[in-house]
Amino acid sequence: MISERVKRSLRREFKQNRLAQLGVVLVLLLFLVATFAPFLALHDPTTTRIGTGGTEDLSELPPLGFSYTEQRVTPSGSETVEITARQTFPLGTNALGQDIYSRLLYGARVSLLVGLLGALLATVIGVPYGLVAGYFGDRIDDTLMRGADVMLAFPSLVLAIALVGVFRDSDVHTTTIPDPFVHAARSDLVPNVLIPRAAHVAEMPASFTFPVTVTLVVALVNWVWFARVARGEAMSVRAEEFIKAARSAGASDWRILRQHVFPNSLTPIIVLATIQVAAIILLESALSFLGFSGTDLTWGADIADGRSDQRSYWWIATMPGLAIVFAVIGVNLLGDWLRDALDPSIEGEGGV
Amino acid sequence: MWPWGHAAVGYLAYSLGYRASDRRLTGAAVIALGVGTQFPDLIDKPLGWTFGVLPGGRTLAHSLLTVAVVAVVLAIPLGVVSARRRREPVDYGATLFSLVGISTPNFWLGVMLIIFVGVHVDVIPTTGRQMGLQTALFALSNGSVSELGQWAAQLVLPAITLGTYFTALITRLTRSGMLEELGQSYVTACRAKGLPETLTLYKHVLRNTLIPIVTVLGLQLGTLIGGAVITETVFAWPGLGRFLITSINNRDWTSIQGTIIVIGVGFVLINIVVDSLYAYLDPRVTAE
Repeated sequence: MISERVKRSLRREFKQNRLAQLGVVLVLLLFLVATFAPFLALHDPTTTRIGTGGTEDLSELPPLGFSYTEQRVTPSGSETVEITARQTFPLGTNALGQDIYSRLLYGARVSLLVGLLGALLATVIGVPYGLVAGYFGDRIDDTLMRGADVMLAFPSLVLAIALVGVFRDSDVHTTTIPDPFVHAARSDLVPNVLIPRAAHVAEMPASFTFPVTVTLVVALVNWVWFARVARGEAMSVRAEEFIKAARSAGASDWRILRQHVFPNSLTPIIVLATIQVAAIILLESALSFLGFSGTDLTWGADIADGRSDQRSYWWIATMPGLAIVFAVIGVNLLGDWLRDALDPSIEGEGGV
Repeated sequence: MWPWGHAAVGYLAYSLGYRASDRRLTGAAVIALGVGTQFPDLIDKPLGWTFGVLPGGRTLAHSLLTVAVVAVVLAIPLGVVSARRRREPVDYGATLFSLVGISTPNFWLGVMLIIFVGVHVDVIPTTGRQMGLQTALFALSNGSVSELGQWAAQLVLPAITLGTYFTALITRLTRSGMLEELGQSYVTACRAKGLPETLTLYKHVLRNTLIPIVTVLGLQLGTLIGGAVITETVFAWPGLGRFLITSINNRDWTSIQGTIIVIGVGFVLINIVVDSLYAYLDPRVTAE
């Protein structure tokens, strides 16, 4: 399916385009961070340090380089306390004393997983739907696409919120995924010498919460775009000579769809899927910001946390937002690269 | 026909907004009750024919207005210039802006604006809606201008929050559409016959680029009807979206139904406008 010509134009575009290189670097970084979060994290992202039980209060520590002073009321009047940044908490801590840096790493897992699985699910629903509509045309097309238009007419965020509202109380709202690295470090199955920083990894949370409803919802909200693109492609491929040839050779509609129409529609679908990953990461963060996610270890939820004291402790909301921006920029740049390289109708004509 | 349809929608929203919190009423009953008891109210308020009657609908009118203005005044010229001066500093600037713009979650942008702008610039309020447009206009008719200023100041941060994504998106679309169109042979023909460049760009090329832009603008404006949820949450504005969220959290089914009907109808109305714009932009498109 990936021809020599496609590889060549991908490579050429990649060499010429700095932004494409930046995109690939950012996306690779996102993947690495999400996968190896237990190794890279400095602390357990869920550990709180609010000074109870004789422990030290480490809440609202600033990021490195942003130490500040604060007036505190004591029994003997008020005193000025200097709060210094610590190297072990490079991006500071939130109101519960959780390490923001470690939370960012774990938040990447949720964003990336929801983004990838959501886009995959949307593709699986939308592409066959659109291909069938575009290939058969006429009444089937009308019926199917009017149905899709109804979905499109629904503001995606509102639909998402409504669906989450329905599913929120069900058992499948979230699921916990065990962390293979932490399990390996804790058990004797793999010799611990083979795992770098095994003792450290063993301290990390054994599983993380994956928001199932949110993933289903983002797919349900976004599959229509895939249906529309797939339909357009199927309509143009349908008129090609080789489809007529296949039909006259006795191929069934199903076979033509699978063997001829689908592979020839793939390019714009791949580009769309990439861009949709970015859109879904944004939608997921919006949903978790509004508190519909079911897990609080996500970037959106962390931003919502930071809002309560946004003026004094700006870093709590700022850091996860920066993480979202960089992740989404990376995925968007990747999408732009694929589009520019794979879609000759865009590149090459605008020679001003 | 049209004003009546519009009035009915606004009216429906009006009645829903004020009565829907009463759980005993079903959606239909709410409409019937509203129509029965509040019709005179509607006639009293000619402005109520517009979106002004929605619960917090003035917010909506504001946001639609701001975004439409920002997108059209800023984004389209930026896209045109960016396409015209391809691979020049202005193009890189516009591309960078639009890339960051479509990649920034707007709720986070809102929070950042509150932290970094709101705190340091006194004249810009950061939360809440202190004054409606009607109040400001009323004050203006009495010769006081400062209310209008206050009204505008409270809009600044929400407008930036809502408008950035739009502006970025429309800039990108305009740029890529223009690049595609600039390669067409009619552009060469226009230039060959000595048409001024501005006229070529804005009258011929841009017009052909506008159809996909208008489509996306329509879809996105439709999304905004309910999708300003987040901006409303961040800035504590009493909007339709926030009303919906509160209703969902309270399991207030009547309100949910009503709000969703209003959002759906608004979306359809916007799309009717978009469809009629097609015919204007492309004379080949005619109503069947």
